[in-house]
Amino acid sequence: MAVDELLLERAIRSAHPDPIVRIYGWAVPTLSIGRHQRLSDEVVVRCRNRGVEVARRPTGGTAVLHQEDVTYSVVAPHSSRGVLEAYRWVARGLIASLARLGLEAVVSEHARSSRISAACFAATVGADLEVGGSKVCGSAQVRRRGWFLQHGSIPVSPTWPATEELLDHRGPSACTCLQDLRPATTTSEVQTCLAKGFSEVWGEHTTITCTYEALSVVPFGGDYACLTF
Amino acid sequence: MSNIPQDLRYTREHEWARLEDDGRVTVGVTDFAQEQLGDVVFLDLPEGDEQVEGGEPMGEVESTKSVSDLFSPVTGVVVEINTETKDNPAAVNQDPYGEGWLAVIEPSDRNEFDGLLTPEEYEAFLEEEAGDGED
Repeated sequence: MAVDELLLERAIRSAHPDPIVRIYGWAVPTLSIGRHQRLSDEVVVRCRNRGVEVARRPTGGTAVLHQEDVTYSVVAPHSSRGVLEAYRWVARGLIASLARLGLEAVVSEHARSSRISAACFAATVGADLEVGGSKVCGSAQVRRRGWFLQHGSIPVSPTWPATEELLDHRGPSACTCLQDLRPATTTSEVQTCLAKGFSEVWGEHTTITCTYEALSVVPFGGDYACLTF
Repeated sequence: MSNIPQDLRYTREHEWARLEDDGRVTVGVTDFAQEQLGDVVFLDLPEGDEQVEGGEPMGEVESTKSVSDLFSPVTGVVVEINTETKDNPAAVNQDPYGEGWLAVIEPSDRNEFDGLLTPEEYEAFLEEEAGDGED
């Protein structure tokens, strides 16, 4: 995700006019947390004991456990789109991608969350993607100087039980995973569909990079984990 | 329709500014901004005595869906920040022009305030943006 932020800064500096999409996985289970989110010492210790890395995102939102998920990022000029409009614009690519898996996703807009949890998939907020009433993709944005970076996680196999245990969260989840909806779905299938879906919706000027091999996460102390290929 | 008080000035980054009797400028984010952001969960505000530049970021506003730069409407020195709102960011959503104020700036150029958008200009800007947003 540090690479995503680097792409954002480079796009701003070069005034790159077209969307840039990255699609990737995770070699090491990683709990990504929001820009200013704080974790308790107990959670940090629990992550360490279970071999889960912790990485801080440049975007907002709450904690997401990346292990059997596909992560996407989009860097683009916001072109007068507000926060929700930008989410809806990116959602067009996600909806087209999930349609290739035979899944009908819709943008579910919620004016205000009834509760805010430390876990991203505990609730549906803002403009999230749902299939059959359950959240299938959690996303977050950062907006700077006319550009935005949005990245999100699409769980392929169940991650909620592990997330609950790490965060010591008790309560229902608002989410599902793709294998619950479409058994035997693989991460490589999802990555391919994302690449084709975004290309289909945004056209030939979109830069799309896929790292089918999962990235390694190396914490370098301080706020961000450093991604290596 | 967003609330746009007539006694304030505005920026294209959706901050509001109020010129106080002592010449200082109180700033916050507009009703439109808080609607767009959703639930505000964290405020990264400048420090007291910090020099800020008009039109440049001076902090961040994080909501459940986005982290956005907070821009200073004017150049000057921060003389006060709203520590109560910093501890209770929901005030930005509940009362953006009242209890949700964010900082007070001692401006270095009193004329800079006059260059900010009037309520009418800000309203026209919002309408223009609503029409420009691509699909």
